[in-house]
Amino acid sequence: MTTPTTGAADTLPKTATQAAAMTGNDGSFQNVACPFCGILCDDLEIAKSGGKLKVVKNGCPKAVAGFERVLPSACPQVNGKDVTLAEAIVAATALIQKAKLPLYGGLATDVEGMRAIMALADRTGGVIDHALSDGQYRNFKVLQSTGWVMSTLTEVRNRCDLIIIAGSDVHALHPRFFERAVCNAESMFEPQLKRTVVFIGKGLDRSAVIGPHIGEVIQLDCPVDQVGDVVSALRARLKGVPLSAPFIADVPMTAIDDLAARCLKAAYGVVVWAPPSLNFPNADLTVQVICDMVRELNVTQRFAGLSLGGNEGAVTAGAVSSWQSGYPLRVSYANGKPEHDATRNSLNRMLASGEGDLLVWTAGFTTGIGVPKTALPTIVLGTPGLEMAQPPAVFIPIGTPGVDHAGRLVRCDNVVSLPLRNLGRTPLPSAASVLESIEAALHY
Amino acid sequence: MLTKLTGGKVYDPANGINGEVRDIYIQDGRIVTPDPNARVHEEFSLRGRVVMAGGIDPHSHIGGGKVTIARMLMPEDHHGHEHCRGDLTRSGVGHAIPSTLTTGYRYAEMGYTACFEPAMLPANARQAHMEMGDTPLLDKGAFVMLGSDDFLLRQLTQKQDFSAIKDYIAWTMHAAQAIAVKVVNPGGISAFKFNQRFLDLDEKHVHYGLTPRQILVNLARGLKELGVTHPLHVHGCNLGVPGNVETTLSTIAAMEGLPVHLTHIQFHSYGTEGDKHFSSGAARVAEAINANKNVSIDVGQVLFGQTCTASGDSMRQYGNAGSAYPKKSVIMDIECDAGCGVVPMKYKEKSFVNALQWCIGLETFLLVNDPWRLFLTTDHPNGAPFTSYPHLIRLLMDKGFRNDMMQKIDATAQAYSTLGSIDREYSLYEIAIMTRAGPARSLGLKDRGHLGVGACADITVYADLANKEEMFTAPELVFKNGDLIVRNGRIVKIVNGATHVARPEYDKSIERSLNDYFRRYHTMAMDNIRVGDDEIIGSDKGSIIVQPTGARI
Amino acid sequence: MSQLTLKLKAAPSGRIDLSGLAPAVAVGASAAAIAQLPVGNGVRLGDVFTVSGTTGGAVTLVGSSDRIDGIGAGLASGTLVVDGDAGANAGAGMRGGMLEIHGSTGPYLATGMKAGIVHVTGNAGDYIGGVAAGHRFGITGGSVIIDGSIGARAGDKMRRGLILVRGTTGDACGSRMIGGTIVAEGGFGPNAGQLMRRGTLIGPKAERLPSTFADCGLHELVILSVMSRAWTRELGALAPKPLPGTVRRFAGDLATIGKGEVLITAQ
Repeated sequence: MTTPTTGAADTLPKTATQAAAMTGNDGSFQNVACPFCGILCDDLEIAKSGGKLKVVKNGCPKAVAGFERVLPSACPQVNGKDVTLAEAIVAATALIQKAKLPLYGGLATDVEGMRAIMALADRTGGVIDHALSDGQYRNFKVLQSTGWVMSTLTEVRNRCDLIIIAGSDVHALHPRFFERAVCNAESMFEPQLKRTVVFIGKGLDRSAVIGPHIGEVIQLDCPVDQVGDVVSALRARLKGVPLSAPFIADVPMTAIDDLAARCLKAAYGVVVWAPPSLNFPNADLTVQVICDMVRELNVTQRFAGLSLGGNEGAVTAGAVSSWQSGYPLRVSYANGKPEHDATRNSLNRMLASGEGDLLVWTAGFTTGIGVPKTALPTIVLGTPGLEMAQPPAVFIPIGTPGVDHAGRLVRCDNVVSLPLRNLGRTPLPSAASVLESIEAALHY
Repeated sequence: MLTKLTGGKVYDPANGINGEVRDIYIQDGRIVTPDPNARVHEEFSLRGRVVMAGGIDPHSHIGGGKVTIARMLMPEDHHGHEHCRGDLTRSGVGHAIPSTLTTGYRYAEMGYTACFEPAMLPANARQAHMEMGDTPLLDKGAFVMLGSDDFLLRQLTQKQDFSAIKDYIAWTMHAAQAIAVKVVNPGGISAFKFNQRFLDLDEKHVHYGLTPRQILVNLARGLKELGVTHPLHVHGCNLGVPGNVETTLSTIAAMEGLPVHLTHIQFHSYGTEGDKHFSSGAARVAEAINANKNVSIDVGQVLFGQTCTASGDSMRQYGNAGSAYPKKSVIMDIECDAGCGVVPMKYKEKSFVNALQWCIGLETFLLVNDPWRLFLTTDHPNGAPFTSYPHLIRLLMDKGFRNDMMQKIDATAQAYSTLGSIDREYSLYEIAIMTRAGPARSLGLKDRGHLGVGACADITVYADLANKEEMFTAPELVFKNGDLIVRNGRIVKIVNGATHVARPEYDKSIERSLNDYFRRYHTMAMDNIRVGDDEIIGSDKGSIIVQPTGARI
Repeated sequence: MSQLTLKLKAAPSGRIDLSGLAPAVAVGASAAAIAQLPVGNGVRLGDVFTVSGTTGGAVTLVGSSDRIDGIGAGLASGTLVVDGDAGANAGAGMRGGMLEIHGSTGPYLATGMKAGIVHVTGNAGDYIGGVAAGHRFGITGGSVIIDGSIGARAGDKMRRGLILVRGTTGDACGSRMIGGTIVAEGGFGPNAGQLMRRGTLIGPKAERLPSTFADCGLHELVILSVMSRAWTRELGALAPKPLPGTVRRFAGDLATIGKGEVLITAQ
């Protein structure tokens, strides 16, 4: 059996089980994957002492906040009264059993948690949607109607010579994205490469774009909700279409022409966006024009998109939903089969309009994701300290995947998935185990 | 518990049994010779029924990122193809790219008990296994993709010792939990990232200076020396390009007798003759297959209708995206590892090209002599969904039906094809070879694909109908590990199949350079690439069967 | 003349899917059979509506609500009158006939419509005639007339046909449009025509066109009077008001092939 060490790679745990064997012991964990944002950095070193975790190496504000958070004590509750886990599961089962249209929301969990939610929703005729799916649907709408040409983090890290950040505050959402994929000291191709980084949009944090491999950093100051206009103009100019306006969304046409020239010279250009940042009406059209431009550039050269985001298990939820139901979230099982409708099955819309008769909310990562305001009876499977707009009928504290129990998450670029370790912070149960117990107790 | 299957006509080519009436006994999930005094607990009278081992699909895209991207890209594939939840079964959707659970149910209902995902990227292996874990009733396994990954290309460029290349191949098979290795457009997926649009067998990759030939030979030799039973699974250069028959013939010659499996060869058998500069190369390819015993193939038959192509070959899928229907596609460069391309496609009877593709596939089936080296596939979902296998079987077994179907296709394609003049009809014995015994032998599944004593009791029982499409659509009984899972086309029990892997030995010191490589260049640590046994066994509620590796005969 | 009447019993608490109604009427189902139609989540049509009369003539919904979706979906002929509001997807995939809604509607009115006429006396939501997931186009034919105003993204991926709004449109009207005509007699909201490839938007004003539209100046377009006459012939009193002979033409969206146009009628 492997014991925790501070040592070399050859003593690393080979599997999640071996890592789990470390639970309860003090020591240090290497190559830990961080579940607190969608890029899932997996080079963290985390020390454990007296049951407390400390991010020793390769942390970021999100990782520190997530791993080092001191959990308030939390007990399963029914109607505000402390009960045992078994009693809470009985109460939750009774509510779900009675519900005609249960709404399964939040979905901030790992693959196993999401599988359990899908099974329960299928069994109980419910509707599923992720807390952050408004952002994801900016992408899904484009994917469903035209598709796209995309890249992944490692490709960008090694290959990209022109990076265009489109209206997204990447650094706030993913504090290590630039460090890991843009400013990396070594890259496989053209080690002497100097990268050009272009920010389209006012007020985006550029502070992390530093280092010997960064050449020029260019800023095109437009309001973030007009990034689509700038990309549209860029796309027109790339095709040689004249535009008479001297400015597009406050950006001088000369700057757009300059960027067009850089695009045409790029060996491998990438346009990066984070769907949650494009938080303005009809932002799917901004994603659309980015993807259309990238596709056109590929006729003669290589270019790709890279979508970030995916915090709170959003990409995982979309992936599991897609492979099990065929559709990326917003699926209703009310008629005994998966039915997809991005508008009607939006949980935010349903809650606002008072549809459904029970909310089952799963939020295992951060407290800030909250539980939305609703008059519906609510079952919350949440990380201790989760912010709640109203007291739930049933509260079951759950562990965080990758901290309190092992698990797996799909990364923002939709291809790579990472194993999450059990660091043994608390013995809180996984969402999957609670939901599986509920499903096992149902009878129809 | 002892179960007896009494009096069926048994087609078990691995044991040379061709339609003999035999009894089969099952105990503890295995086919047994029972103690003469043992009590039979359950008996199925199979008089007049046809009995085969459970079907094995050696090449079907059922799990992994590109399939789920296809599911996301194509809501229209699911509309009108919803399957309601049953007492035992989960709900699901899908025609060409069914949801995972539905995939398991439909395969089992057709009498298949094992299915192999042929294009698992190491970077995506975890997800591929998770999806296969959600595919019930079937055994599964996956072929890991190598050949456009920068680690191997760097090894070859640096002229590293061949043992290091073998160690890397073996390490990757372990890490990705694979049973075999596939190469897709050798070097071409990487070359596309450097803006190369074609890469023929002896063309140089602009960055590495390597040719596909070098990559193929190194991988094929490596697998042979590692003793992996399934030979290198090759999706060759120039998929779908008219004239690629020359590439395919050159590829066969390039292997110099090394064992190799050429997959979906239909897409690689195109000539450039005639007014339309598109013609069948099937006869030439079949001749080469017949002459080269080191080569096995699967066909990748095209059948008409809407489907969605999903491939690791980003270069060629980008090239084909102009023919997408509906007009949309996903092309990805992935993790200095590989790529993918998802392109919806509607094959039309009245399209000259599609009709000729249909003919080329059937010509290949009918002109290759040895069914042990030819497996029945549509490259699901690329040529057609796997649910069209019964139709394909009828086309192969019923010349009258085949000729009737041929009358419906584009007239020019009819004139270009020799299909109408081929009289061959497949026998049930040959079908059993192509869909069971052959794939099992090729993949090294020792106790699958046959009905001899000791075999796993994966058994399918068909009514013996004249209409073979009807016969193979809905078998009367399907047993998985001895459990009756399907009766009269309906699922009666849910079980989880095993994941088959192969684990050739290697020198673990390769991990030093791998660890360094991942640390320097990747966004994932070497240790996290590795898919643990506990993930498949614990989290996915599956099991692992390690198939033996050993020197190939 | 036969007449089928569906009288709303009480405002439904959950969503009701009436998309099975028009196809059932088309095959001449009896009132009893229609009352048995599933309308989602285990509810039958007869639980929500009192059904009376016979099929063969007009169908009338007496009372409706914004929670009732799919009204008139798949309608191929005949008239369906709704006294009240409609939810999402009213008139979806219509192939003919007339859908008359005396009230307002939710989103995706007339999505995937191929032919026929939809008339809404009130307002309508987002994505009128727009494309739904898994479809290649939005509306591909027929006419949709809204007396009030509409939400965002009307005509998203629209291919043919007419959308007439007597009031104003929301954001990005005519987005990704491939063909057809949208008339907004009260004017267009911001970003009209964003990413449109072909097609025509006509109105007295447009709040802020995407910057990738080119001002082509004033034009005398004979085609407009031809179109006006054709609409009057086809739609009678429902037709758009006659268009002026001279309009200001903006071409775009130049981010795409740019063969679309926004015609501003007010001078």
